[in-house]
Amino acid sequence: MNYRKPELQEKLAAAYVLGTLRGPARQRFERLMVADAAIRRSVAEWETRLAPLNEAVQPVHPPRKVWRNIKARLRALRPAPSPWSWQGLALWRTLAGGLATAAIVLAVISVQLANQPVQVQYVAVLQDPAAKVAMVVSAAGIDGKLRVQSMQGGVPSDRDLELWALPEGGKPQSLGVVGHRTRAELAATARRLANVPALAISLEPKGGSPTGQPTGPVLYSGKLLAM
Amino acid sequence: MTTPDILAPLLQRCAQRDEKALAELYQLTSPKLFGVALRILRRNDWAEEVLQECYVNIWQHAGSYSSDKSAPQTWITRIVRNRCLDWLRRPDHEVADVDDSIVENWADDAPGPLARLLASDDSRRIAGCMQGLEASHRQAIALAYFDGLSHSELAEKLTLPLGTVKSWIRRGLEKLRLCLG
Repeated sequence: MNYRKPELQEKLAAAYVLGTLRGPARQRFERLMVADAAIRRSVAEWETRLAPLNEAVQPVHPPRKVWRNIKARLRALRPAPSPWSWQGLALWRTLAGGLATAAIVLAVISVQLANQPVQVQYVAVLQDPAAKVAMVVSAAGIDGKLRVQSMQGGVPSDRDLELWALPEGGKPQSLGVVGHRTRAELAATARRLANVPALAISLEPKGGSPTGQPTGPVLYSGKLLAM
Repeated sequence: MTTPDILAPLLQRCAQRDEKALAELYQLTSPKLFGVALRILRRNDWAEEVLQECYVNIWQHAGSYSSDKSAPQTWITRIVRNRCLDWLRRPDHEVADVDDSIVENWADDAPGPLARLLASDDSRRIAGCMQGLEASHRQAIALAYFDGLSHSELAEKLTLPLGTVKSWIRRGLEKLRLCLG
């Protein structure tokens, strides 16, 4: 199928939002969304078009225990180090939930990268909580600088995104401030990623965290794969 | 009635770790979202679990919400709908048949779900466009959107060939797009 055809993209976007696009086709389409702003726009348009239909859904009050459980999960996230520690519940959830999609995206990216002359050392696909791919971090060669490609905008102009290595059992280590650019090359090289199982992005004050440790919420996270 | 004007600042406060803001957001939005999840998953325990996960996700990622891309209600609903559809993909999650008592008759031109759409300013337009569809196409689209039925589940439920269902959905969506702009 030629996914570049706008009419096909439009049809797939409609089926995606309606929910009839399922299984591998849905995953394939999510991969295309990552790389293509026009597809993301079509999807957003269909979401906006169909959103008023939800007025027809009968509201049902969830049982009280639902809010109690949410509060308990927030409490588990609250102590300063917990959302960030490698043992942190939040991160594990995000990682586990996003892993299926990430593995597929990685498979595609590695094929694309394999066709390039440069040898890619590491790739990480960072996802948001809706399991949407938000950022791809890669490094070519062991001395290669880290390249960050952002798939989502929406960072408040008075804040910056910061990339962190999450070493197992250790504190997060800053890999640099990504800022607002769609593509960025950081000063850090692939050497910083040895034995790092996962990366994450946090929202920080302009210029990056003032403390050397993450201060803002974890926006995206994902496993790091050595190629 | 929840409007972007109320929800967007709540999301902003969530991004600043204000738990009271999440509590307000939950109060305002959870009945609708629970309704959405219940229709798709058809099991209370699953819908409760999905709702819990989604509000924790909203809490953690409120900072990435951007009001110029989508309305807050649309953004929140997307998180819940996508999570429900993901949930259905798990092989151990065999979903019960659609309970006919909660499937509303969208094929009918009599009031019912369409009347609810007509009652709100936000949805009057789509109600008109839905009414403009052939009854069978409208029914298929409603079963897909509200009850999360796939093409093959629709074919089975409506006892129609798969190709017919696909073409109804495609034509229905195309007509909706032209009507809604």
